[in-house]
Amino acid sequence: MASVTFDAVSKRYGEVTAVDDLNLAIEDGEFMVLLGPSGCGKTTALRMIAGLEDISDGKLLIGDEVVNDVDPSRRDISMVFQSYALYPHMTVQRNIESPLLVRSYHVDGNDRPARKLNKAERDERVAEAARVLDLEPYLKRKPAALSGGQRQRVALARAFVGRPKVFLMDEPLSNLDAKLRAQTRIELVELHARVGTTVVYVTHDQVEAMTMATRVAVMSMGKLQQVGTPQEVYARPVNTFVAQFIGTPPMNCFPGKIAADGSQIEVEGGTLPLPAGLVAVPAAGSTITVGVRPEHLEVSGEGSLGVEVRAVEWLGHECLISTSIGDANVVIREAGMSASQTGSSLRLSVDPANVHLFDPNTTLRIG
Amino acid sequence: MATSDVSKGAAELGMGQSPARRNLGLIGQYGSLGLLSLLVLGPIALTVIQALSPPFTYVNEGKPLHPVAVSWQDRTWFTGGPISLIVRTLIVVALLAWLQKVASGGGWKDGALRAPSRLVAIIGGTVVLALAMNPLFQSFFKADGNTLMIYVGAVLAVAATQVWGFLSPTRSPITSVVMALFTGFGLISFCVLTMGPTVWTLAWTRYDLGPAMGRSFVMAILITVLQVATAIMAAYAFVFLRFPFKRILFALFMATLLLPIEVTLVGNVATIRQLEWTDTMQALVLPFGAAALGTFLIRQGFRGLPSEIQDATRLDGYGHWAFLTKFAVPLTRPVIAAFTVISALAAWNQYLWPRSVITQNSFNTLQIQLRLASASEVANANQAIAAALVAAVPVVLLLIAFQRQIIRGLTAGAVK
Amino acid sequence: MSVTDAMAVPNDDAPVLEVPKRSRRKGKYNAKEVGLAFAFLVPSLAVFVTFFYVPFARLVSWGTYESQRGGASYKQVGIDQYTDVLGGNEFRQGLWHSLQFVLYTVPAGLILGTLLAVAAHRRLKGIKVFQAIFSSTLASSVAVSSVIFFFLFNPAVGFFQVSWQSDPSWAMFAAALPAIWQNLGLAFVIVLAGLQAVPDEVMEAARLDGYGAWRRLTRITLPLISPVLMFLFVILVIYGFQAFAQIDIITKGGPGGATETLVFKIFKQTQDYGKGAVLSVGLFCVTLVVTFFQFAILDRRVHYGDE
Repeated sequence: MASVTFDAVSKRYGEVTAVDDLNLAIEDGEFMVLLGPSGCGKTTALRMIAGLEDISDGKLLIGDEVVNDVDPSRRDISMVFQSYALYPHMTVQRNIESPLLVRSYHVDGNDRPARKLNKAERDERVAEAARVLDLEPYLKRKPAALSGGQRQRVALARAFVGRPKVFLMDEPLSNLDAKLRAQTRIELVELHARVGTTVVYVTHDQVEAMTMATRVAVMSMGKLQQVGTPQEVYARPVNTFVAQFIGTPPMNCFPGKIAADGSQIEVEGGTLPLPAGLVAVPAAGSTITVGVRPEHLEVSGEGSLGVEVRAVEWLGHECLISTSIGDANVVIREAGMSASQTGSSLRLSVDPANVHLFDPNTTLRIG
Repeated sequence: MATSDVSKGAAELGMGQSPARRNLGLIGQYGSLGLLSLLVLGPIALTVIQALSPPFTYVNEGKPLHPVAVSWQDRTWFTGGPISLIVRTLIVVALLAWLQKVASGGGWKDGALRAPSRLVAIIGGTVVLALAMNPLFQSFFKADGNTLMIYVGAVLAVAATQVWGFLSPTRSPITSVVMALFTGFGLISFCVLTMGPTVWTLAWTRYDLGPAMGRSFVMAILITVLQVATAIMAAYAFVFLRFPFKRILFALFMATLLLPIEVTLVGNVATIRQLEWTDTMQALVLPFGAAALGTFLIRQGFRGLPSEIQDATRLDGYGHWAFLTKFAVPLTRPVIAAFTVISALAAWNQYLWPRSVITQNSFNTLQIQLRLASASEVANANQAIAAALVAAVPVVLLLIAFQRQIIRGLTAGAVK
Repeated sequence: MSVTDAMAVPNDDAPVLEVPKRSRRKGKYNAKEVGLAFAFLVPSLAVFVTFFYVPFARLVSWGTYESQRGGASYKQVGIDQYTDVLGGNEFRQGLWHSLQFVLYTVPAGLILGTLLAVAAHRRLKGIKVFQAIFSSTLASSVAVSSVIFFFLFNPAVGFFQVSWQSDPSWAMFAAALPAIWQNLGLAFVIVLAGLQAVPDEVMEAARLDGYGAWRRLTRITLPLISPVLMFLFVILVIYGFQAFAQIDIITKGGPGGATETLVFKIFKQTQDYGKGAVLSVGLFCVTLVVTFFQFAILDRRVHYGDE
């Protein structure tokens, strides 16, 4: 087990910068999720840990060792690919055994030279991996004869069997159906709890990030935006990108102005309270971006903000009410059935603790 | 009835038609397919008849001629020594096994042939056929030989051994009986035609087909092995390795398609003469040691491999050689197999190049030997024709064994 | 199923970054890799240089030498021999004979191949047997088919005792017959592959629209498989221009040179390097034109395959 450290790492393809000056310390035993939209550089970052991409600039450390020029197979890591990359011409047994056949391992203690495993050792490890991942009945089959979930478990077993220092996972759940995905999320967390190995997990799906991560690193446009526990990232997004990327439906962001007396925020249709615990209140009269999550907008007769209902979507356990403030779309989330009708007016109120302020120019969080 | 099965299969084609019209349509379809088969097989059938006809009317009166009549008399199932007996038996066993496999609807591997009924059909059929052939051959040259009766008896005896193997829940017993009768008739006729007349062995020895075929085999195998090996290596370099001038080199490879042997013939013949390689195997093989088409096809195959598979092998620690032999080649086996077979076919069929660099008849490949046979006396044309038919047998076997690969190779580029 | 799962979109980084799939690791070359690459390319390159490029280069230069006293010595005549031979009767005659061969074999191959394929592309019990029969001529080599037809139409001993092989106006047809027959299997296999690639839905839709069998063939099937027919056309043209064995075995160039195609003339000139070289360069130009079409078609197909 080991930590992984990005020290000012960049990756450029000619003109394109895929990862820009990434500084990130992934701690030993952590379940770190790299989260971001397509093309944000998260997969490139993961492939740099694996050694499948050269590093243009900066240093990458696994444990205390700089691994920029270490061959992928000598980094003591393993990876689960999005497509699983199972070898279609080999049985499940041979697939799982594959890394053991060519890699050398420090099985005799770290002070002794690494060596290849013998047949008995390999069989034992394959059997163990198969047991942990419930693959024992399928060892003689080829991947084509397995279901999607089983294939995914074979990929996990192949990663697991070498007992690596770091597990890398590149969207491993994206090829599963929704039900299986939800179930596998729980299994992955359990697996991590059992083996305790550092996991670096790439996904664009914030539900996976929120449910599995010990910490989340949100990336966009090749840059790291914010690192923190899922709770931190949800509760205190550092900029409007993170605010709107985390949470479904995304956080409502709309323009506002600090009132002349500096005590509240004026927005089109009413006012909102200033967030609690602001260190420095922006100057009175300055424009700001206000962020409120849909679940924090409460419909109440005495609300300080008036809006008009454009549409009501009933989803069963909740309702999404679409309205607008100024030019911005604003969504309100209401539990159960909503009494609101399209075209009617609503009064909304917000707990000051749930109001976020952002600088409209830098998009950074205020306070 | 057999027709009910047929109309079931064609039900979708004749939807909404009355049964009578549908049957009429079926007769029309099978009739036209039969006529077209005649067009394709007609020349072969006529040629077989020609080969089995007695020597032709003498031409070139006055010159010494050596007509050799087609003779049946010295043949029995057991003539020709142990080797030809074994070969003969194996051919019959293979044919019966193949027929039983096809009829069972299964593959070689799923154990369809291990069923006792099919084993009995294969072994029993062979024994009965071997026993029946002797009186049949002998009846051909006896005036009161009752050839027809013995023929019918032999067919029925062989058919009787097959019925049990053909029985299947999806098929009516009558269909099985008809299939068995066809099998018996086809097998007996096949043995009569191929093992009865002497013209095949006469042609074989007269035109030295054995050595010629051997040379063609060696040439075709060497060319195929070289082409496949060089194409795999080159394709691997073009797809998986980084090196300078890749595009230029690839263009250089593909440009050789513009220089077929017909264009470079004069220059290559001069090279071979300068090297004093005329009448050597290397002269036949080396100019075809690499093929741009193979590089192109296998490169396409390699490019189709998921890049994540390659990434996974890098993480596992496989080097280039291990990746090539354990992953790239096994995973593109269909493409490589297709190219192997069409490469072998093309090498076997070489004509212009061997014709140009072989000066002694004793070094002729099979195809060139056939030309020699056809250019010899017209009076013994039946033997030359027989030689051509014998020469086609290896490719017929190749076609049967690798039909899918050949078709895939030939249609590569036509459709995806 | 939660809303978020339904909204999940498949991720893939590459298209956004526009990074080519295989050449992700651009930049410096690895010496070991370059060495391996050249080791892998050298065998092919050796063959291509020795037996393709060098002979061709020599041909181009030999074209400027005229043979004296039957190839005993050569005299440099410059471009003159090119203009003389390529502009002369012999080349034109050879080209015309090659073209004749192509004209006999290509349309026949296209029509008969389509006929066989359309006939055998149907759901019918036992259709596999007919498909095997129709593709069976693949098993015959040019020499085998030539010998068969040489004797079938032999004036002395043939099944059909006609004098085509010695009649100047019929000789080329006699030489083309085995090629037509032998191409049946190839043409059938290629057109059938094209037909099988046409989605069943298209034909079913046409049937629902009330198209009869003939209209389905001419309005839908043939246009849809036209790229395949084009491919077959190019192959048959190439085969036609390269035909040699049929002529060598059946007519031997005769009667009176009436079947001497370009390739046959080149074969006859392997003693006279000068003239042979010029004819070869002439054939190269013809090949160039034909191969250009071939490449255009192959290339397009390959791009379909990449999707």
